[in-house]
Amino acid sequence: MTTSSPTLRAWLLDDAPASPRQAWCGRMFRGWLQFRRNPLAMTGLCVVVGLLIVAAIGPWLAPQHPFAQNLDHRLLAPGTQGYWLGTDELGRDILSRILYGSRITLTIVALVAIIVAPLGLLVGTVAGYFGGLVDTVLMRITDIFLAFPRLILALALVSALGPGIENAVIAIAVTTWPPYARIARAETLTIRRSDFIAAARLQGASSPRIVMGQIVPLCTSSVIVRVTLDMAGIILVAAGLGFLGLGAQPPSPEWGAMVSSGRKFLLDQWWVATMPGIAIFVVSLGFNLLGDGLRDVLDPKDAG
Amino acid sequence: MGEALLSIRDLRVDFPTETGVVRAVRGVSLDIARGERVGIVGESGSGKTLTGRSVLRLIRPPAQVRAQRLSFAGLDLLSLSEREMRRVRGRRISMVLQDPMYSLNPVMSIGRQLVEAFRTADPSLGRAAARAKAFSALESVRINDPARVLDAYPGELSGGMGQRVMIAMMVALGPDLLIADEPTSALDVTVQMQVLAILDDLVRASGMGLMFISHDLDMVASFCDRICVMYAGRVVEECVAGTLHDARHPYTRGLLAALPKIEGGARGDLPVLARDPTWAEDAL
Amino acid sequence: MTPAIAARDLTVTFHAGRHVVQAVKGISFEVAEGEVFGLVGESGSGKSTVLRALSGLHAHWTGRMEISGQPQRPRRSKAFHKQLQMVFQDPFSSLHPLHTVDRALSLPLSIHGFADAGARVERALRDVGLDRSFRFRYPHQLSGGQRQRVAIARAIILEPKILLLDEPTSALDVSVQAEILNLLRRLKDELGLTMMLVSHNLAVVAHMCDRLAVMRHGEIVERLKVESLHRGEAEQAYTRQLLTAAKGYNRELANQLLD
Repeated sequence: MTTSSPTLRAWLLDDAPASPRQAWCGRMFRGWLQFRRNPLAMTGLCVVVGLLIVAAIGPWLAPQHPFAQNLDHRLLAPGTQGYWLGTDELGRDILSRILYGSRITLTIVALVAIIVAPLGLLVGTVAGYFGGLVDTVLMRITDIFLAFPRLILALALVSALGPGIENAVIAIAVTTWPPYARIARAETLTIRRSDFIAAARLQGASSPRIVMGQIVPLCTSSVIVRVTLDMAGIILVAAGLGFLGLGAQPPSPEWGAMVSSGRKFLLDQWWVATMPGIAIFVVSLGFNLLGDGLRDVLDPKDAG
Repeated sequence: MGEALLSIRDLRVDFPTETGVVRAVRGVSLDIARGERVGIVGESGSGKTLTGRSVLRLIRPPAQVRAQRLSFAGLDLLSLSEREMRRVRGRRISMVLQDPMYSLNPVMSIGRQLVEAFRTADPSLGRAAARAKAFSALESVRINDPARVLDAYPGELSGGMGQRVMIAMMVALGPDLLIADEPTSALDVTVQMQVLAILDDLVRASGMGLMFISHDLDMVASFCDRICVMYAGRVVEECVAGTLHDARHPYTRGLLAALPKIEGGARGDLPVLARDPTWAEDAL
Repeated sequence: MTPAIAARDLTVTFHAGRHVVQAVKGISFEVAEGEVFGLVGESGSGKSTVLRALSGLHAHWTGRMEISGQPQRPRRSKAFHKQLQMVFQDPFSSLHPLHTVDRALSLPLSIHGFADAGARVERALRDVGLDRSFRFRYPHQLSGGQRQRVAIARAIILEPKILLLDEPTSALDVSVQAEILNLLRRLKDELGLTMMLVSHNLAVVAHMCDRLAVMRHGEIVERLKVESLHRGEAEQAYTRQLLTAAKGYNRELANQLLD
């Protein structure tokens, strides 16, 4: 990744770009150069990219089908008979299940991010830009959602909607957006009085145009950072719902559900619960490190 | 003129960056005597602020500060330990910045901040005695109702008042040298005038040296005794303040010509400064 | 001839909680077409507030306001913005940090539906003395003076007749200030602009303006022709004080300042 040819590099770092695309690529490349200097952030990026690759080609990597049971091979320890991470109580290969499970984790994370970030951005920027009654109404609604403990609210929603991945995603999304709205609103309040907003108003820009074109891009970076940092929490809530039997349903290889089913054997066959637990831990940590690194690059206060 | 209070020889400040070392200050030499007001004038990026900060050793790594000599009242500032340096800062050399709000603690009353400064300097001082000193410190910067200001918080003060409090705080411990970095740039002209008068009185009364850093040629020329004009990290012209308008260096002359005049003069275009790359190389 | 700007009994108020502050207290003035009119004053005098009310940025005002002969109300039409534009004090905050020069200049064109945006952007850049290599740069890749040129290009790209200037050079170095002032005067002549310049710097006003008004505490205390300013002929003590203070430090003056 670091062996960009000298001409490409010069094109990217050109001080006088010739097209909007070159200007944008140059900005991204400078961010990347800065990001690359942070080893922890790079570790996080590797983990997340690893998760993406595994999710994409997991079925080809997996030695077994995740549902394939072999009761003769129940609860085998890691490393025996070609089961690298051992088998569970039904003789299913844990490695294969974790590889397939990465798709579920990634789906949950992506769906939540797609729902939560735009919703929070929209509510926050609109409330912050218009102020007054709009602000009061939107923010009180946000406060109501914030007043509930996240997991409890998610539990209540899933109990009402019925267990399952889709409902778990909806429940997590509903409980996750309020902090995003708060962040976006706080950023909007500091941006709203800027001269460049005044200049846009003077040019006759309508309010939707100002919110979407001027304010949202400036709030996006902090929301992206927050989403990345929240990923760990989202994965954990998803795993928690799975653990409680309210998320993905058996025999689905969702990591939380796997931990849950392994807890019965924790003392004697520790690997059944521990292996998916490690997967959850590594991916959560990866997202956290990535988020920290992104914050260093994207924080507009350092952009100069 | 007596022996120099502050003596700088060949000061250099380098910043390592991605694209190579930026040499921000490149061989500045200047002296300040007791009771002397020396103005350092230059445009943004000329290195004037860094010169002031170097004296207090406020420039952090990775930037590098080097000098043949950086001596203050017989002390070699470059060889002092950080601990010894802390005893110099505030007590012997102080600094006033453009925005007082950066230097005052927003959640502590002015009185408490002053009292604390006095008691840190002299632990044997009682609370009441320190408060009395704080009161007279505010009087010395011509604040009419010190009692009210002592109980006020920084956010409640106007710009001019905040800057006076700042000066009171910075000269409270009777420093020998005051470094003022654009102390009046954010203020209205009339308030500016009052703040300058206060600085003027303090210099005359206490005999401290003043390093006055500013971008405003006219103001420095009328206020200081001596002027150093900086360009690209060097002092390109040094002269007695009254003779600034006879300046020889093309940069100084260009700056003076580029200033619009109240008296009007030719209604045509202002002469634009044409920068000559050799100015950055010229030795003084 | 109808004046380009006419204000009668203009009063501007700010509402901060229960407090109502009158920042501008019933001032009247006219700016003729093609004239450069200066408003001078210290901070809090209300001079910038006048500009913000004229431009439509601040809506809480009473009195009469006419721009090019048309009476204005607090809310402005889209067409109004093609007549009047403004340049702000701080070029570091008046450009969107994530928008290239090209995007900043294209925005007004797309709002008002101009077809030949690319050509107009290039022409505006040329008008303010920037070559094409600046077109796709971000603000952080520009110096303060270059940013202010971009801000001026943005203001003239809709071909307005009136330009409001709010301390356009006070954040710039002296040598850059001279370049920007020269540019503004050239644009005024070439494009036939009417300008209103707000500044605390008497020398800048003396250089740029034909007439000026001195403001203090929301009121106009004196009106001057620029020739009187050149000769230092001011009637009011406050104006004379500003004149003396602008000449540099003066110990006697410091002792007898009006507060």
